[in-house]
Amino acid sequence: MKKRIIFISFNYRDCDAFAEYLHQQSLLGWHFKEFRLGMVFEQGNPADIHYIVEVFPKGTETDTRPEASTEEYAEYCEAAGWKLIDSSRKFCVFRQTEADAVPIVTPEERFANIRKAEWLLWLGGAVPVFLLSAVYLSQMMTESFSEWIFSAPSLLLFLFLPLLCADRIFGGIYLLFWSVTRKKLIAAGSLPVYGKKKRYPLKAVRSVMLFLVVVAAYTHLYSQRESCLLYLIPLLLILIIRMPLSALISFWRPSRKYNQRFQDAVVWVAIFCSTLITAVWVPGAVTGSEAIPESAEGFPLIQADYRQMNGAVTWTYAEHKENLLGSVSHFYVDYSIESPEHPYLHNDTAYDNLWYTIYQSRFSRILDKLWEDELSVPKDHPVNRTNIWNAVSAVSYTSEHGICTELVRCPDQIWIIHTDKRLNDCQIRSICEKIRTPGNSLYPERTFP
Amino acid sequence: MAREAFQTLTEPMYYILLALTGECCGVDIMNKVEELSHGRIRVGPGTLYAMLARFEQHDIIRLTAEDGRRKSYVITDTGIDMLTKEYARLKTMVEDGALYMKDFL
Repeated sequence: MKKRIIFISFNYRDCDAFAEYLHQQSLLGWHFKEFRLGMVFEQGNPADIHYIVEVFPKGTETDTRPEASTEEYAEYCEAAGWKLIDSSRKFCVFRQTEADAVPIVTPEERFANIRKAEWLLWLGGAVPVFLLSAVYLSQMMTESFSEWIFSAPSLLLFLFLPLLCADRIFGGIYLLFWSVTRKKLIAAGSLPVYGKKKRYPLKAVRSVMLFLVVVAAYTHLYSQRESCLLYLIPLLLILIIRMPLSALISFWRPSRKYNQRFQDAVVWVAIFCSTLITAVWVPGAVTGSEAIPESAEGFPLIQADYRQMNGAVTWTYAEHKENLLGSVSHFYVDYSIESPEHPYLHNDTAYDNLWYTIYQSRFSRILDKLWEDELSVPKDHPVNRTNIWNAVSAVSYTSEHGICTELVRCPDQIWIIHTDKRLNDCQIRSICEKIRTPGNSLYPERTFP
Repeated sequence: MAREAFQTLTEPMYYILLALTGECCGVDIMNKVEELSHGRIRVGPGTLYAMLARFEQHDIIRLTAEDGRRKSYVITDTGIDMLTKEYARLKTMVEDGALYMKDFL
């Protein structure tokens, strides 16, 4: 017998539309048989078959076939003139077998079942989004602000998550409106008709694909391919794993117990694989770092720029992040020194360490926040060096380990410079001249408009 | 608590409990209710299913036999107590109204 599979779905609140759809198909000679991959229809003689689709209150979202409780429910319904054809999730599809079959539930009970199912579904989708957004945004505005504010993928999430939250909130508002209006209809003695909409599964996939394209384009534009992969890989894994997994479950139709266990196992495997791939395969550090250059050529500042150095650069490291809001660059330069009197002596070779961070942004509020965060950390005997640096504000301090730090606030930049020895006025002037030279940047082609 | 949840019984509840004064299979309750009410009350299968679950949860009825998916129930002492009180309440209402309703009946 000829069969066909239809890939559409319905919301719980559109259960009457679902039943009407099945009725129309029967009139055309296609009779609903079961849920497997999609809705399976068998060809037969056209017939005027009446269906009803009920929301079974004891069903769950992981039900792929009638459970014991559903079959018990079906027994009662069959005695009343409704034959269960199949069930999936909380949907139970019945065919009317007796002309005078009594309605399965009262209008009030039907509304209560549909409303509860819809709200539970909404909560299941909204709560994780709200939690994730709250955690991410709180991190973004506190501890991780300085590292994430100039990260392209982080900015995208910062913009995307509120949109996702707004989508969920509007969904909740619509559901509330729907609940209130249907309740009023029932209170007035009317019978509400539940829905007229079909849903197409590709709609959800489109949103994910769009996000992936935007992430890829944006991060490619800012040459942060490695950090782009951090976001793309888990999402691609979700698509690669989830779609065939959903199809497999939909075809295999395990019982509720096995379905839950199987999905839990797959989620853990996906998390493991995703972590493994991003930690091992993505080259370099996970936040868009550059490979160690052979020399400090192109670094905005090295020790030799502000004092006499007898030795050579032995190790360098650079990291750069950039987005529409600005950029942050971290630089590390180690010099070996032929001086036994140097405080850091190792195997008769001394090392001079310089590491510094440059924040650059045209948005003074962002720099103000970064500046406040830096100053909020307690410091030993801070010294005001604003005049020496000729900056908006400048503070110098020495840590208990002997590391000297200069915090310098300029109109569009913040410099945080760590050295082994305190910088004197002459060295500061040399540094100012060096860093403020036009075009002096590790990424000279990246300039703000 | 069972008492607070079922202070006043609806008509379907009342007739279901009445039907379960004798052991009865869940599926047959619908026919029995229709019989007891002379066709006036028809309980939907979904309504019955949910109600039996609630009654059992509150110890108003108890499961007596289970044959595959077919379950049989009977009313408990708690249920009888509830049914008796509801019957008395309804009877009192009828008696109270008899004096005033005789001109209209």
